[in-house]
Amino acid sequence: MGADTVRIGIAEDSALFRDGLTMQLGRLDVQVVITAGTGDELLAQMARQPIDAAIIDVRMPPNFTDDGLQTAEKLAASYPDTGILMLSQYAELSYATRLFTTGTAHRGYLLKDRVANAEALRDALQRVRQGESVVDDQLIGRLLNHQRHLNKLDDLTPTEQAVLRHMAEGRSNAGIATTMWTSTKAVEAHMTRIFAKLEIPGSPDDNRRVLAVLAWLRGT
Amino acid sequence: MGTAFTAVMAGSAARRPTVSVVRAWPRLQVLYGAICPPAAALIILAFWPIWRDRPLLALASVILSMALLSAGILLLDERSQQGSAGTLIGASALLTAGWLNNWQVGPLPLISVPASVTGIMLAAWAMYSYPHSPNEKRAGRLFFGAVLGVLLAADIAAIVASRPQWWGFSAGAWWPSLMPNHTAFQAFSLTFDLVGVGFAVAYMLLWLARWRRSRGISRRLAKPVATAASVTCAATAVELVATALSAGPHVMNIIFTVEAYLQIGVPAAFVVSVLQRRFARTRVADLILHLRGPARASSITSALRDILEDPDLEVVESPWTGGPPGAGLPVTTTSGDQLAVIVADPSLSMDDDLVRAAVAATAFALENAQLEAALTDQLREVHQSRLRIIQAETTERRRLERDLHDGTQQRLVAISIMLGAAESDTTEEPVRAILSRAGAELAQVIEGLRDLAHGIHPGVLHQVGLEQAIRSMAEQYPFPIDVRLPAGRFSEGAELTAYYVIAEAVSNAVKHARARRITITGKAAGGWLSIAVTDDGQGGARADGGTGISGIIDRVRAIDGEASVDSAPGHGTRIWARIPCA
Repeated sequence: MGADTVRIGIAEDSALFRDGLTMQLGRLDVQVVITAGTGDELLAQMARQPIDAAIIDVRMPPNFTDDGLQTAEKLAASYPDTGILMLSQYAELSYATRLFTTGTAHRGYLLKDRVANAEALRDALQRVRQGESVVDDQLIGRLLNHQRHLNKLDDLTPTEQAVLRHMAEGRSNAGIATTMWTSTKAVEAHMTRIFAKLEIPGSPDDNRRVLAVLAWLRGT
Repeated sequence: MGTAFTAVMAGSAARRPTVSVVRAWPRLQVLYGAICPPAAALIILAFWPIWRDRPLLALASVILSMALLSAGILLLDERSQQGSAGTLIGASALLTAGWLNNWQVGPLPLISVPASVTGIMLAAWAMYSYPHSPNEKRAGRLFFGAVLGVLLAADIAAIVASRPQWWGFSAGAWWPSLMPNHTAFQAFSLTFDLVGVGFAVAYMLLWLARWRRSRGISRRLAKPVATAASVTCAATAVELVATALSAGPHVMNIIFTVEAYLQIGVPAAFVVSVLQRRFARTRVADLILHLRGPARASSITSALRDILEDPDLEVVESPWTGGPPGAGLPVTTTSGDQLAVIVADPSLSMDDDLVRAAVAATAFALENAQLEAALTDQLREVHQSRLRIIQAETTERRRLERDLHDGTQQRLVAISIMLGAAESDTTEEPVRAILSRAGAELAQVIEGLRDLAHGIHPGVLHQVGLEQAIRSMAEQYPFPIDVRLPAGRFSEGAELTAYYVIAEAVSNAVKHARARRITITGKAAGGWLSIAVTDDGQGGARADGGTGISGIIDRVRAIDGEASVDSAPGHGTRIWARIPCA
C-alpha cells in the first residue's frame, strides 16, 4: 500500500451493503479506514483518523430522513478539502441541489446501485478528490431526455448537447476537454454559446455553474 | 278535567294523529254555489207574507237562515265536524220552516211550531258543541236532548189543547184541536216559556263555565261565539218573558226584530271562529317548516307556546319522569315508540283538532330530528372508519417501502457488487459472459424495485416537499410534464394525498390515455391545496369501480377534501382535487 493510497470513510447503516461497498473499494485500490453506521459516528472517528473522501448514505439512523445530508454539511464545514460522495436509493435531484448549495467542490451525488459499476465509482471518487462535482450521469441523461421532449434543446448542436451533459454531471473544463478529446478553449467557447442560447442565468466561469445548469434542466 | 284531557290525548295518540288539512276550496265553492240560490229562494218564499208588513224582521230572518246554512257548508269541509255541519244546516232549514206560519194555510202553521223550537235548539247545540271532543258531546247531547224533549212535549200538549186562533193563526189552518181548553193551553204555554227561559239561563252559564275553563288559544277562539251566544240567550229570554207576560203585538214585533238581528251575530261569530281555528291549525303544521336547525324539545316548546298561547306548555323528551304516570300527551313515532310528552293546559282538550295537530307536528319534527341525528352519527362513523382505513393503509405502505429500502434493495445492490467483482476476477470467458448478463438483469431488477418502492410510498416527500418530489417524479418520464406547483410546505397528510393524486393521474395518462403532454398545476389558498393534472390523451378515464383513480378520490374524500375526474372520450383527462392543507 503506497503513500498515495486513498483513504475512505463510509457512513452506511446496512451492514450487507457496507461490506459489499468495502469489497468493491478494496478492488479499486482504495483503503476503507472508517466504517460507521451513522453520520455522527463517522465524524467522531474522523477526529482520530484522517480520510481523503467519505461515502455517505442519505437515509440513515437516527431519523431515516436526510441524516446523510446533514452529516455532509457538517463534514464540509470542518474538512473542506475532503471529498464527499452522497449515495441515495432514490433519484432525487433536490438532494444534489441541496448538497451543492453550500459549495460545489469535492462533492458528488450518486444513485446507490451505481457503486456496483466499478468504473463509475472509481471515476466519481477520483473527481471529488480532485475538487470537481459529480452528479450521477444516469440522472442527467434522464433529465436531458425529459427536456429534449419539451423541445428545449433543439437550438443546441450535438456537440453543445454533449458539453451541456458534462457540465450537468459536474465535470471541470479540463475534464470535459479530456473526455471529448478537444481543447479547454474550445470547451469554453461551447459553454458561452450554451449559456446564451438557453438563457441560463450566471456564467460558465462560475464555480457554482453546476447548480445553474441543474436548475435550468429541472425547469425551476 | 285533567283525566278527561289525558284520555282524549291517549285516544288521539292511539289513532295515530294526523294534521287535519284544509281540503281544496273549489269543491266547497261549487257546493255553496249549488245550494245557495235554491235555498235563498225557499227562504225568501217562506218569509214572503211578512215581507210587506215587517220588512226588517223578514230581512234579518233571511240573513240568519242564510248565515247558518253558510256556516254549515263551511264546516262540511272539516273532517271531524261533519255532525256540527249537519246540525247547522238542519237548524237553518227548521228556523226557516218556523216562519212558515205566516202562510196561514193548510198544515204550515202547525209545522212551524215544533220546527221553530227544534231549529233554535239545534243551532244552540251546534254552537256549543263546536269543537268539543266526543266525550263532552255525549253529556251535552243528553242535556240538550232532554230540554228539547220537554219543550216539544209542552208545545204538542199546548197544540192539542188549543185552537189555531189562540196562537194568532187563522181559523182555517189545519189544527188537531183534540180537547181545546184555554186554561190548559195557557198552562202548557207557560211551562214552555219557563223551561225555555231556564234553558237560556243554563246555556249562558254553560258558556260562562267554558269560558272560565279555557286558556290561551282556546279562550281566544271561543270568545266571538261565546259573546254572540250570550247576547242571543239574553234576547231569547227577553222574548220568552215578554210572551209569557202577553205583551202586545207591536212590542213583540220590535222584540222579534231586534232578536233576529242579534241572532245573526251567532253564525257570523261562528264562521270567524272556524276560520281562526283553521288558521291556528295551519300554523301548527307550519311549525315543522319554521323550526331552525334540528328540532329539539326546547325549540318545539317555544314554537307551540307561541302558537297555542299557553306559556306553561312543555315538550319533554322521553323518558319523562316529571309527573304522574299517564300525564301529558304522548308523542310517538310511526312504530309506536314514545318520543316525548306534551304537558299543556287541560283546557286545550276543548280544541281536539289543534291538539292532534300539535302532537302530530311534534312527532314529525322529533322523529325527523332523531332520524337525522342517527344518520349523522352513522355518517360520522363511516367517515371515521374510512379515515382509519386510509391511515392504516398509509402506515402499511410506509412500512413496506422501508422494508424494501433498508432490506431488499441494499441486499440486491450488495449482490450486484459481488457479481461485478466475480465478473472482473474471472478469466474464463463463458463465466464472465454469464456474470455480466446476471449483473445487467440485476440492475434492471434493482431499478424496478426502486420504482415499486417509490410508488408504494414516496420516501423523499417528507424531506423535499411536494413540489420537488413531483418534479423528481416527472423527471423519471421521457416525456414533457409541465410542473407548476407551489414551492411551500403543507401538512404531511395533505402532501402525501396530493402526491398520490398526481402520481396516479400521471401514471394513468402515460399508461392508458397515451397522452403526449401533461400539465400539473397547483395553488394553495385559504387552507386548501388545489391541484389539477391535465393531459391531452384519449380521455375516457373512469372514477368508478376499483380503479386507481377511484382509490385516490376515496383517499381525498377521507380527509374531507374533494376530487373529480373530467374525462370525455377524445378530449383528454383532467383530474382535480381540493385538499385541506392547514
